Amino acid sequence: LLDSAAHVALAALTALSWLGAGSLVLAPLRSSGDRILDLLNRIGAGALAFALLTFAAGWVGLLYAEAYVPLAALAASSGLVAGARLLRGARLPVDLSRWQLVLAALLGLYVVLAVVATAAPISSADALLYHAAGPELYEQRHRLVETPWVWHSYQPYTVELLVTDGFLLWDSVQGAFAVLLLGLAGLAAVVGAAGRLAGRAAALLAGAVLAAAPFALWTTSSTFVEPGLVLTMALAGWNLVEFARRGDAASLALAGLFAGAAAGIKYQGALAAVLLAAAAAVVLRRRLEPRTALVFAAPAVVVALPWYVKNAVLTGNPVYPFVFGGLNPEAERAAAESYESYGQGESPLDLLLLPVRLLADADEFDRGEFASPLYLLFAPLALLGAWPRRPLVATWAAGLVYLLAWFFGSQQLRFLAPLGPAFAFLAALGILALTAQRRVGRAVTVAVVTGALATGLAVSLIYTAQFVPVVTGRESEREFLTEKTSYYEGIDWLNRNLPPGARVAIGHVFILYVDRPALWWSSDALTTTAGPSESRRFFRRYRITHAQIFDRDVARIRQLEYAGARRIARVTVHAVTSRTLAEIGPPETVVVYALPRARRARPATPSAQASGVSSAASSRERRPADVLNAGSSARLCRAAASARASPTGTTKPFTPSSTSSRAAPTASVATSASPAAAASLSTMPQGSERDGRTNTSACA
Amino acid sequence: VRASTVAVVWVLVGAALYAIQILRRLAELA
Repeated sequence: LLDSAAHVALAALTALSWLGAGSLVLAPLRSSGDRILDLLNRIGAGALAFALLTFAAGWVGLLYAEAYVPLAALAASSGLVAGARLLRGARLPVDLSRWQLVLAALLGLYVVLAVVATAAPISSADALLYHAAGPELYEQRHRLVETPWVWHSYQPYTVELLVTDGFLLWDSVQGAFAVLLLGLAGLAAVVGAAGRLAGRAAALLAGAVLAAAPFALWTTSSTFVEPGLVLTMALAGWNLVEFARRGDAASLALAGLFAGAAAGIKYQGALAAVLLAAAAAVVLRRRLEPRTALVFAAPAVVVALPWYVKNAVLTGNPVYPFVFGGLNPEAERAAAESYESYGQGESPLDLLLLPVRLLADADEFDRGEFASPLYLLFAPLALLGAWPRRPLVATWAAGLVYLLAWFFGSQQLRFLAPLGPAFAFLAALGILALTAQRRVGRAVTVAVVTGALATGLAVSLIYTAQFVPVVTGRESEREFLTEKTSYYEGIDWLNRNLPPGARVAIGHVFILYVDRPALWWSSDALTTTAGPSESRRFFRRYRITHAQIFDRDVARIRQLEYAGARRIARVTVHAVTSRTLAEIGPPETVVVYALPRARRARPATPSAQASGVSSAASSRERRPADVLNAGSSARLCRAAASARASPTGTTKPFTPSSTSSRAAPTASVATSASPAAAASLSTMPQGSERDGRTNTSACA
Repeated sequence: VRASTVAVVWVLVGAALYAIQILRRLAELA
């Protein structure tokens, strides 16, 4: 319990440090005159500043707690002063009506639930694979590390670098709290913006639609990047509204800054940013001129570009592995299977049925059944009210374009996060509009909204209850992880039995808690059809000393035999098919192999040579020396796959990270090994609620 | 047909669909 309290206290310090850094960064800009907006702008800009600073420090190998902690403390003290100044004289509203008080209390309760869920050890699959596993690696190596075995790590990584700061401050849970802070700031931004635009009732309703649902609780407390998208899109939108009202360049520049920040969080954020800009251009077309476009676009490009340039340098593809490709065919197939495993199809009929399915049969959308139905029920009704029509229609149009891109991409509901702020606001307007329409409208609205919120709360309480024992110290972390993360028994065996210098290849995606350096033995890293020399090169390149794979994974077993590995243990493991319901899959067996010592010692440095991919050299070699390069297999693929080619296309080394969510488990698994393995793995749970797919899709 | 009537019907139908989802889920748990 003390640990949890300390995490909360340090999260407060983190928030203050963002406020302090943001106050410094935004000092040249004039105040908007709205203290809540000023506060959130500074917090958002400060978070972005810390992320970019962490990126730069990681690039040059300076990711040390000794550097970060004093800086954060200094920024936090400055944030304390700035916050006190901003909030001087502020008062909490005291004249809330009863239902408004209930909604405010509900939001407060959800904040508490989110804190409890976040304070538990990380157990969501995507975080175990890369949202937290990447940052842990960076912290251990004091620099960014390229992890080509998980292609998601090439997505923009703004949020993951804030998670890295959490690791520098303390541990993985502290990293998870950074994400929670983004989520809470996003909620504040939506409530604040809705309040300014449409009053207190709309503010509370928009907040409830956005945050008072188990799905929102899950995304905010699971170390995903979506809360960052919610915050940045909310602030971009709010600042655009300010610009529309006052015509000041500062608001427009801030809108651009946050739109660019969204593009720096995930590829879908770039699409959302472009659509937001397009909608704004339509609404504000009379003010559209080169100068205004530049004031918006310049900061956007500056904060988003580093991620895309990094990918271009490392892989030759700024949006790796999309559009211009780069994965080997097997990895590409696995990734595609993974995206397509969500949703219920992409035919015109499926599109037509989408609203019905989202309401009545949404579990195929990756826990969509836990999302708030209020978006879909009420956002269309915003058009009933007497609000300015053009912004509403433009928002709807941009939202529908994004929805279409999502529909034809990976249909994971959480990838709709960038729409959350705007559509929560529209839903609030719709609720208000219908309550204003005769008594029956009011009665129906009250009943439906109350029912949805009550149902959501019940599920949220059940969901959060599973974290209480570990957060209050009544359950050990080991017990918790055994119950809540798939195949932890195997990880636990490795942690207890392998020598300290071991480096492990793991046949599934849940790698965060392996105490030794570990990688996910994916098709990205080594195709299942790779022969003896390529397999041996793989082991050498990553200096693998041990491997843990499923006993049915004949392809990997064969590759281990190529290297002369010997089997040293068999461990019975279980998939967790539902954390909340404590459901586990049937017993499975993983086997542990030790590779011959002689194979281990070779330093894996610059990838190109080490991997034998001679063609690649180029830009990589110019990179800072300590960026670890792991890159080769991805590069191999790329090289092979591409004739495409720019010379840079073959290089990929370094380290970054990125990505967000997509595909993991199924992906590699599906291609690896036997059909049986593929089948069973594809249903493996991820740590979270039910099935175990990891996400895969992400990019629209 | 008034827009508000359509809106009420939309919300009721949508709420019924959502209720089906929740009830189905509860039935699975039971």
